[in-house]
Amino acid sequence: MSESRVLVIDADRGRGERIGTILDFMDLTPRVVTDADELHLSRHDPQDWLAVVLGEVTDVKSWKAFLDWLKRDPLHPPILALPEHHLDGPQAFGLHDANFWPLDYPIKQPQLVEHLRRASIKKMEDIADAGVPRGGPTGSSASVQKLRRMVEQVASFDTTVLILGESGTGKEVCARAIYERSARRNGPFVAVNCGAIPAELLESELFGHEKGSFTGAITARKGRFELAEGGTLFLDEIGDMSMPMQVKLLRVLQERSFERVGGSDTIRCNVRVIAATHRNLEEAIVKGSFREDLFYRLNVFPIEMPSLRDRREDLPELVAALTKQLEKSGRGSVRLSPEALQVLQAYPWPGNVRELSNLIERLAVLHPGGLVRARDLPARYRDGVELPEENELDAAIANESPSSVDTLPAEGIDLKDHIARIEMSLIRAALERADGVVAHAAQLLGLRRTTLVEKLRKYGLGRDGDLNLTPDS
Amino acid sequence: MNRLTVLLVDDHDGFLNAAMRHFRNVGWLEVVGRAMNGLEAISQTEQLKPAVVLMDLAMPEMGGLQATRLIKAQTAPPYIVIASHFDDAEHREHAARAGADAFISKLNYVQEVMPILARLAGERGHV
Repeated sequence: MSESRVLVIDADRGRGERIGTILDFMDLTPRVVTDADELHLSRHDPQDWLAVVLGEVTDVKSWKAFLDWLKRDPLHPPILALPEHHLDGPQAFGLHDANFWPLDYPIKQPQLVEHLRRASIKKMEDIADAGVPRGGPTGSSASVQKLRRMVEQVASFDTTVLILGESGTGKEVCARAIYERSARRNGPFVAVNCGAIPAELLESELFGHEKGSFTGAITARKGRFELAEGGTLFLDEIGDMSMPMQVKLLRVLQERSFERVGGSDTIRCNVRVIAATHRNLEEAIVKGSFREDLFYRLNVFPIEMPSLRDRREDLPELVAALTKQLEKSGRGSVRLSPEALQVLQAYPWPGNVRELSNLIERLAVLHPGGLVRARDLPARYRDGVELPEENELDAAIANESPSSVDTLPAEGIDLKDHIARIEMSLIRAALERADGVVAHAAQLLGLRRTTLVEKLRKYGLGRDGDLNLTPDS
Repeated sequence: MNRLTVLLVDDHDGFLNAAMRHFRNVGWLEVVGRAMNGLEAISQTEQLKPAVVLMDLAMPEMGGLQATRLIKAQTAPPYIVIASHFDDAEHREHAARAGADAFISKLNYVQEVMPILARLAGERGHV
């Protein structure tokens, strides 16, 4: 993902350069071209750019090729179209409205800054959305079955829900599952993490603000309550909310109305609130950091999320679901050996499903497409666990070895193919024994490292992900 | 002040050099490595075991959010500060969700990062 790189395509060279200069002054990194054919698309990924500013197009063929290339990536950056394209609209380019944003010229800096800020948010949200599993919690343990029943039970009623549980247990997944099964499923689902937003910004984030209501409020802005109108607002980490904000939230829950910061008009709202926290709110009430009246207003239908260590039997199913999700969102693939799964089932998972999800993603990056064995797991997952024997791997290697042939079979033999199979098999075995370190494997085979690298390239070994090669250093 | 080891992650050489120039004058701070994308950041963090990673949000190959998530999955992960060109509630939320410990604006980098580093260097357990 790139937040600061912006591509400008404009056959009007002077205008393109002027826009580039403005972007430079904004501390962004522009790349200005007059035609799309100046770009070597094979060296780029559409997501290398935060946005593409589009001006005059003279070379239609190269522009079309660029556009096709861009659209192949579902998470491609938006087109910021200069005035000559405003009448054509997104249809002319076969783009969705959400990816076609008109840009005025001469450039109005606040508009450009806002477009780029939104482009950056859109990208983060697209990536995050791709990573959130749909369909509710995964698993078949008794606790997950109970959780699913509760979700089904509460979804169709418009009551406030309070989801409790340790960090990483999937409170947002549960909230989304309720929303997806509710009558509000065609309305928006808006999430806000109350703990991540500084207290002084949270009020305007939730309720919006009027222009000029505080320094920096250069335009009026809707808050999350307004954005969630007709839908569901998920207030995560509600236990981290300041006391003054708790009073304001309580009022909205009671009266279903609020005012924007700096505004005097009362806005009515039709929003279902689902709140969540990892904190013990009853303790917080005793300590005086959480309002009792707000707690009772939120605690209409509490759902307790089970920790992962309390449902270890779901681990294989979770690993399979997370791996599938990774593959689907194009973030890689990985397989775990049965012994690796066994080791993971013994781990206490303080970070719950989120920790497991991050581990799987990390393994997919470090062992792309490969098989992860128990000894490949990071040390903390193996601590105190006796590693199981992983004989099946050796067996797998052995199974791939062609039978030794020192006599010519009656039907004859394809000698070249046979020698290649022997060579590949021995190279695989050497790399396994050398833990993927090419230089060490080369020694085992009596080859120079460069010769082995050449053979790996020739046979495509390591490229298809079935071997984990380690750079020699 | 305790000695604080830092890994700098940014895809802009100019930015890395400017940060290095400033950090060189801070006696208790040692920049142990530089990485230019998220993938490099993951491997450098594992090898160099810095106490703190100063992570750019936007980089080619792998951005700062994904790298933060994956670094936090390693044993005894470092403190991670995400630096973003845009500073608003949404960017802060995404950084927190990725597991970042702090968030700063790139437009006000040194002024915002130094108090965080000074606090960490003053605490035990980050060295």
